[in-house]
Amino acid sequence: MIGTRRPEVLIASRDDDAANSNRGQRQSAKSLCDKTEAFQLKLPGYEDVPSRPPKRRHRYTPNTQAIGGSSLDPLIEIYLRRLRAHGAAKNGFDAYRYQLRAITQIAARRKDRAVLIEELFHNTRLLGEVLVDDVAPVAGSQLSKWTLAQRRSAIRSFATLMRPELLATLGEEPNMVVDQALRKVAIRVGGGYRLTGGSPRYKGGDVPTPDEVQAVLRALGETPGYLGLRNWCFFSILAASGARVNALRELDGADCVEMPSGRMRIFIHDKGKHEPREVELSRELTATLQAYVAEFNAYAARRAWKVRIRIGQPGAVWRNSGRGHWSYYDIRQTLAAACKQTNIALLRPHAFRRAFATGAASVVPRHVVAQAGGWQGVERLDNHYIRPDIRNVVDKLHRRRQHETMPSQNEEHPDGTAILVRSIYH
Amino acid sequence: MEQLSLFDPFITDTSLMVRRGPLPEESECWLETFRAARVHDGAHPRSVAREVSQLRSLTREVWTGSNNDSVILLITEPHLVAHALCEPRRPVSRSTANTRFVAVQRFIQIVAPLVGRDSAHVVQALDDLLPVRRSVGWHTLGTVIAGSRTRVRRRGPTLEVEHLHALVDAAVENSTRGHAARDRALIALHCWSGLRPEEIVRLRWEELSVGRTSTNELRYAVTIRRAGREITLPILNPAIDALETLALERSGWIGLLAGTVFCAGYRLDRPLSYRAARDTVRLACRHAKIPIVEADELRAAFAYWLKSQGLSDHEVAIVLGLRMVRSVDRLLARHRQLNAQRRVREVLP
Repeated sequence: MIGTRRPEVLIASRDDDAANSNRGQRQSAKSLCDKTEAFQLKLPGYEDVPSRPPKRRHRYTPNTQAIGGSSLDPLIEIYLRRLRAHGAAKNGFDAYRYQLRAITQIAARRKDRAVLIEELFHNTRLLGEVLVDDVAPVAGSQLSKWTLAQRRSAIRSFATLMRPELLATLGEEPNMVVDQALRKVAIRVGGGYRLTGGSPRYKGGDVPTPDEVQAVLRALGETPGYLGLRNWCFFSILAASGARVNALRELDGADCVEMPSGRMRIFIHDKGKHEPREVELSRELTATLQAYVAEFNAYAARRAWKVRIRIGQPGAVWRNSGRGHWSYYDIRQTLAAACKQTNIALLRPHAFRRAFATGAASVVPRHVVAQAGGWQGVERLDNHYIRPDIRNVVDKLHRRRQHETMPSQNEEHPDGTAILVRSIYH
Repeated sequence: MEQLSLFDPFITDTSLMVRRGPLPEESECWLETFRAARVHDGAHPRSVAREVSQLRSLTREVWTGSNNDSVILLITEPHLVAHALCEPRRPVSRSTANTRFVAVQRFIQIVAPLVGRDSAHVVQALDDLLPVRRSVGWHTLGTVIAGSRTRVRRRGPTLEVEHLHALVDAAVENSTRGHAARDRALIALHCWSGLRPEEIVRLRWEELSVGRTSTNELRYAVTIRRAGREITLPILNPAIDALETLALERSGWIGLLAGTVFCAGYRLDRPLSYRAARDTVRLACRHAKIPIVEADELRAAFAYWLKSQGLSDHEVAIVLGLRMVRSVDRLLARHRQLNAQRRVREVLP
């Protein structure tokens, strides 16, 4: 029966205009085709039923045309090769490549023609102007001082590594040329110079309170299956160790070590550090991590995935599927969902590091916090991470006062908190 | 504007293949001259051997494919050497790159006058071809050479005193060929003395000494040569017990015996190799159910135990035979990090 009906359907689709054909008809024809393919040969003069191409997953590709074109300056190519030979990390390598492309593009915009980087070293005024130009090459928005600082680092690195070539053409040290260029566009202040340009750097961000952290962790752990265990364990390690999210995300099974005491040590590779940092997990976290691994492996077996998580052996630990590491995007989405569920302002994963620093610094000396969280000194910790909440300060003062004297007799503000907060904020 | 790398003509040469084996006879003669001069200057034979090895590999890197693949290229063609130091064909670690650079400089200083070149001039020409970062000290040029500073081999976990005890006990279980006493003493010296692994395998009974204090207590010590100076290190109880057991097995006492302490097999004249000692440590780790660790981690754990006994950093340096206290800081850095983590974990909710 089916075999006899198929030509009728095909004839109907041929008679109609292909552009105006009904989608429902096409789908029914396709399903019929699929079913009858084994029984009937293709008739001459009839086209195949149109089929929808498989949906392709979008992958991010940097817009190289917008930031200097695909063809790089030959000196930049050589510099990048040399930078790689000097053991630059991938992220640093990408950042310097981007900044050098941006430099040549800004110079081209200013001169209305293509400018090679060597020409910039001959024209120190132009080089200086490019280094403090704070208009984004693609978006046109104002760049931050942080981005401009990275641009200066990139050009200094370029001057250092390409010194033999530049010295031959310039006749003077390339790093000195960079200094001269910066002085030409800087303001003379006191005994030195001050650079202009760039929006002020935003130091730090919101710090969740301990209660908020606990609430978010509870919400994260409510997801059934291995997902709940993974979410709770991942963010609990972030909160307890102050690890960077990407360092923890890229944790490898071979970097996890079980000690005879039953505790687990993990080695996480923080950015900018040559040596991995050893972090000891508490018994609760160790048990949860092991439960997550067991649960994931059972789930993978049920889904017939070949992948397994094995502690002590190479392979991604934090997984969202059978493919690779849990992506940063998914981590942020997971955290955002938990924040929404608990009615807490949207947090980023780095907020856990700030919460760790702030919470620990309120009870132990800062140098101990720096050692525990993997900071190389207390300067960055002070300027970017420790953000005490004014309400905690007031609470502490109040507790101290209560401890020393009698409780307040003020009926309007029995604890005195509201008055203190108002006087500090206004 | 057609300025390219100074080294470009050689980068595109695909005929450059890494070869193995000795260099041509003439080059080997020059290397032998270099080796003899370095040893005559008092350099350690092992460091000289490493320099010669690096010179060989560098000569192969700068080899251009012509018949002139002599080691003298390192003197006559500084731009090739600079290229090999800046952009090695295979990734190297920073320490290897540094050793290569130092070896080339020494080779130039020794051999260049013999081939009629001014060594200072050649070294200067090489410096001009290398990247330089800004430097403020009079003693540094800021020369930059290639090489990665990241660690290739994974580090073991930080150990504590109970792990040291477990390792010494596991060494006995580990032995199957009648070397229980030897292996136990070997592990005990790794764990409970300031000796380094290469000093432990070379140790002789004559270097161990026993003395009595004014209160008639026995004290054990070992006297060795390290970095050209003679140092005496104390030996602590767990290691003394193991060494005495080994001495009894050899039918003698510490202070009276002579010869190699750790012998390979049953031949008393052949010392244990460094690799065999390392394998013994690894096997002990496996039996003690501890992740495999290197001798550095054992020394660090010993240093941490010394600190827990109330010794200052300088006193720990004396027990370990370290010249600089900064080395103690480096040894204890990971223990301090773990302690800080535990301290924070106790107070955080």
